[in-house]
Amino acid sequence: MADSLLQCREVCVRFGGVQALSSVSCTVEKGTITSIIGPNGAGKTTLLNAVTGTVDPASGSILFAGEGLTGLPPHVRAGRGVLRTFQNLEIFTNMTVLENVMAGRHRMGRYGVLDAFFRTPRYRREERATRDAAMHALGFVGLESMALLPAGELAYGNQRLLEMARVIVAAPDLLLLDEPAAGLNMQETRQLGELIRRMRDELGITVALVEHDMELVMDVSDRILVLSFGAVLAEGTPLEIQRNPEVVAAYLGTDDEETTDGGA
Amino acid sequence: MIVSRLASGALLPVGAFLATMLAVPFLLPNPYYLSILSLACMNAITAVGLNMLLGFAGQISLGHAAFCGLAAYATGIATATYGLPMWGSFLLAIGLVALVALLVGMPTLKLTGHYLAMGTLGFGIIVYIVFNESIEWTGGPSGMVGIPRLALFGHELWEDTEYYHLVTGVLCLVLLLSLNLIHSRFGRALKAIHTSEKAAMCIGVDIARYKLFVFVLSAVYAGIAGFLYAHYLGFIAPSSFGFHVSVQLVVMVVLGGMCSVWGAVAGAFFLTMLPEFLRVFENVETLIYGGILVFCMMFMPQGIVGGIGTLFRVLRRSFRPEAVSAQTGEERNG
Repeated sequence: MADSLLQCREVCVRFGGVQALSSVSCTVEKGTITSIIGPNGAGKTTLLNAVTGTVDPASGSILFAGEGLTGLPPHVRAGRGVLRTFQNLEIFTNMTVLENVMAGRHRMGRYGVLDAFFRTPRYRREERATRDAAMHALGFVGLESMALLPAGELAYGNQRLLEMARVIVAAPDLLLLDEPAAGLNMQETRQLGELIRRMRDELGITVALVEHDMELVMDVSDRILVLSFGAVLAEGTPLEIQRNPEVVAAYLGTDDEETTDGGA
Repeated sequence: MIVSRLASGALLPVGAFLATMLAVPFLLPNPYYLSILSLACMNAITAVGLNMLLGFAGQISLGHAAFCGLAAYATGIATATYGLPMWGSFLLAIGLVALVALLVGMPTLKLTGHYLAMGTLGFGIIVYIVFNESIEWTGGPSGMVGIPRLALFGHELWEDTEYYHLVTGVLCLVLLLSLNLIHSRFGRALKAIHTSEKAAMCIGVDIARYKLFVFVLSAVYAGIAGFLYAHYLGFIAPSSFGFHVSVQLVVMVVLGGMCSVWGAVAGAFFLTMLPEFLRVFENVETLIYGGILVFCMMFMPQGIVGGIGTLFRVLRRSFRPEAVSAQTGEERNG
């Protein structure tokens, strides 16, 4: 447990009268890929939002690298290295692909407004480094040839990759992916799985993802957290989860065969 | 040293613009046009600032004329009534505008869309009423006279040509700084806020702070324009800073093209000079003015600068059909 990067302790979130999360406790170990699964309305995205700060828990605490995150605004959490992508793409369509990724490096920005106004050496040095890092991140996801295109002109699958590049460039300690495979075809999903694994292995990024595509989840995950009706139903390795009768009953359907072909 | 650093990137187009502007007076038949051009430059300074707020950060203000007015009245009262030196009066006026923008921006920038428009509109109207009613300070509706001409290092700029050179220089400086800012992490953060506040927040942009920053910056630009205006005409009245002026400033930004800093300049020059060209039509002047605006927005929804860009692309496509698809990306990068 010493290496727990993220610890959620009895997190409760309420929307009016609806209890979206009731006393959820979970951990994400450093250097792992953890998937959060569960039926629609189980509170997966809410948990993610609670970690990034767009939703405030009514009670409970969230610890990141041993420090409390609760109550901090989203941009401060991003500054500490908690980054995320969105289920409905949130690409900056008024910028080029390269600018999108450069914008992603905002949290590492050091130069001030006056440096920008007068283009001081400090500004030049940092802009050059930012541009290099952005091109490197685009290369990592395989989009470097499209760097100068307006971001809105990319195909859907490439916009997903662009969003990945935009978070990779910020060198996150913890990266939360909200349904990264939504809208992708089978081949693109397989490539995405490969990309997520490379992010862990080559960049050392700890990943937590909310996902419906069971094939992807079983393929990439080190650990899986199953939510149902706002509570933790089960937690374990992909194999343990597939064999857990409660999970099979509540989520994957009572028919055992469905657990392997991944109908969700 | 600083000049060489300002140089990269933006200096070439801004330098070309400055050269053109300095050449124009030699071609003008009549000194009256010089004063129109000077006013266009002042409007452009305000419009460039408003474009940062509206075009880049996506936040509307229907009260920006009030910031011009605040600076104009502040410097008018300080110099004409209290005899403050010019530089002191400049610092006072700009400081006041920045402070007011900060105090107004903090609560109103929490609003979005139509509500932000209403909030800033309300601010503009309140300031307008203050100009009208505090007669002992401002002279009320009949205006304030006797504001001294601007003096630089003890030299009063009485010649219209001199003043024109000054406002052109200030406009170019404002353009250079704005272009530099847009091509920095701050510019990217502002554009990010425009498209997705959610995503901007999650890459670490402090949205409230950036909105406030660009609001105060645009107000300061408006204040600089107001300062130059007061010391140019020597006479100011509340009607120069009323609601319709604020709306006209927004129209300049939208008509010129929100996609680029230059759009605001194009819009400001176009809208300031258009009435002069239409004067020959006498009675139907306003009708034609409105017609041109409608025509522009129908056929150039991207504004004048965006429209010209599209035109270039279409022309190029008709000459070299294959080469275009590869180049569109670079063209829009500007």
